[in-house]
Amino acid sequence: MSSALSLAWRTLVRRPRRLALFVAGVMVAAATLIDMVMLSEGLQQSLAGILESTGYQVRATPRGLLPFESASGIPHSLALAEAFRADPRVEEAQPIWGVTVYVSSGAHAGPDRGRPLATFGLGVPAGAAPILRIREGRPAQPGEVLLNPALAEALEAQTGDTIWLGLAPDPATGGTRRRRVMRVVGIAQFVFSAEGAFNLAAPLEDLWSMAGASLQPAALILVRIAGDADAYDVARDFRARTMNADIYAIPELIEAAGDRLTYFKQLSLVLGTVSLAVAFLLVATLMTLSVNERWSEIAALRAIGVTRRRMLIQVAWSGLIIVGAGTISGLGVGLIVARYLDSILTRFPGLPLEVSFFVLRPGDAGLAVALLMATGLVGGLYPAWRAANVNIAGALRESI
Amino acid sequence: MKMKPVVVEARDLERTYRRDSVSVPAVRGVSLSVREGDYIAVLGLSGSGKSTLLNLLGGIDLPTAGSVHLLGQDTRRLSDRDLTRTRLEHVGFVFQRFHLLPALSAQENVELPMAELGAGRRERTARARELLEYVGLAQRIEHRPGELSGGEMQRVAIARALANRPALVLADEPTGELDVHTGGEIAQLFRKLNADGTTLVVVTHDPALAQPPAAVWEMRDGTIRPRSGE
Ligand SMILES: Nc1ncnc2c1ncn2[C@@H]1O[C@H](COP(=O)(O)OP(=O)(O)OP(=O)(O)O)[C@@H](O)[C@H]1O
Ligand SMILES: [Mg+2]
Repeated sequence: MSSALSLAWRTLVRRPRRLALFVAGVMVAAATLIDMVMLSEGLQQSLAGILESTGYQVRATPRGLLPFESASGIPHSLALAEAFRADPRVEEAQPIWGVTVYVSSGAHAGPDRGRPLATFGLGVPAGAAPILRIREGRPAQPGEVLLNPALAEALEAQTGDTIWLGLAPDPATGGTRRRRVMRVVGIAQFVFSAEGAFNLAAPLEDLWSMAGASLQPAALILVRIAGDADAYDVARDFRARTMNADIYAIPELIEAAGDRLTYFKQLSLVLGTVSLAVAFLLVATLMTLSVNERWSEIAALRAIGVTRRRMLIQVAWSGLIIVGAGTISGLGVGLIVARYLDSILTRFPGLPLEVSFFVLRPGDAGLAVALLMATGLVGGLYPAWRAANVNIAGALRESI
Repeated sequence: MKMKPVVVEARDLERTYRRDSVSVPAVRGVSLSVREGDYIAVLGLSGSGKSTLLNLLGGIDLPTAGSVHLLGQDTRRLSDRDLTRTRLEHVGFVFQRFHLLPALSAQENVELPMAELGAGRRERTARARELLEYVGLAQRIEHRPGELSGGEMQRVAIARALANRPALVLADEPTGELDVHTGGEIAQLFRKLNADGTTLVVVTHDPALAQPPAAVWEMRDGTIRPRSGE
């Protein structure tokens, strides 16, 4: 009980309900602040995470289009990929294409029975698996496919089964037109896949020939840069001499995405500031109430011999205790709320499964905690200053 | 007979309160000395300046003119920090309204001034128990002020005032909130304190506190003189 901290604590807990209400108020403000901090850069961070996790540093996309926006894509993609590979700074270049295909399972539906499922078919170089996370099995060779878990489940298909692929449903037969039999060689998740979407991955040539795409189109070409070569340089050089593709280094894309997401940052900044202001007002209110209520007690303590400095510290501690308790609980609540909001927002159609709107970086969390603590200190400062400078005789007199 | 040393001395003391254009002279030209072992009871009508004088003597208020020398130090020349330290070490206060900390037990209230002075836990605990026993509250050391009667709270406050072995104990109407019987017990406790060597200045309307051995001084309109016949 010698310490100002424990005296502050014991004074606060004398009014447990009031303390609980104020701590709950600060908790809500802290949770909001944490969520705003997570939201401000969350989407950009998470997009960056996905783009970087593919292990490629340069990306070519059809001029003026997003990847997979149109089936026409970058024409003659094999030639462009070859040109990339010919550059000594490039380790690897993988064209990728996408087209809607219809699938029915052998076991379940038979070639002409059952309803074919519309899926997004991803064409990748045979034997490679860029932007795929293989859960089971191996990359597809000609005549083989990988299914994503949702599709495998819907088809009741397993590795080793055969399925029927077609380019369009055929109402006459209930099957598909231009169909082909292919073998399932594994289960893989497409990193940009949306929640619940059906995806499969097959060799480019198989999909091209099935679709009659004679120009070897690609929705994107991913390029891995060798050793210490500079991705920006490679992207700039190829950009200058390629007519029908946009070629950028991944960090450039992340930056550009960040520019388009600034309004998340502005929203977060405004709401974060509001929540700090609320925390400030809560602390200042409770401290003022408490100091007023203890006015004669404070005067008596000063009379007995408690210095101004100790008085100031003791009251300031009360503010920090409230904010500290509110911040700790607010962190937990903020994380839970962020997860819940994320689950709602990421259900937005077409968003990649792995994207998040709320991402907590340790530095940001530290910043939020520091801001809240500073707010607690500042909110308690004026009441603490008043307590320290109480007119002792006057306050003792008023108490009678 | 050799005179005992002076604990606090007032010289030509003035304290004027100013509010807007009105100035109220609460203490006017008071000179007095309180010596070690004295027991002074200050009587006087309401508004005669008793509390103001007591606050000046204890260094929780400063004179507008004249001086208070508390243990040889001019209160007006000390920094707030040093004056606070002087009060902590050498002056014990007993208030009409007790002013105990409601969050702390009787024992912790008594320990508080010792803790401020930096005394160790063991020493504090032992002395607090001893003092509570001295004021007759050995059984209630764990109790909070809210669980004590007025008389008991005032006993705790007296124990707290004695915690740092003060050279001077100042009490402003210490029986003002108590019934006659309980007030009588507190008055008896003050006589015991004085008999054991504590120097006391007590402001009161209560005749019980003005009984011998108390020397009675009377305040009137901010001035003070010994009661006639003494
Ligand atoms: N802070 C103040 N501002 C203005 N006037 C004051 C203040 N404090 C005391 N006074 C005035 O000073 C005079 C003396 O007050 P003081 O409290 O010392 O009297 P008292 O003898 O203690 O009275 P009581 O017996 O009622 O406690 C009164 O007229 C009072 O109104
Ligand atoms: Mg008075």
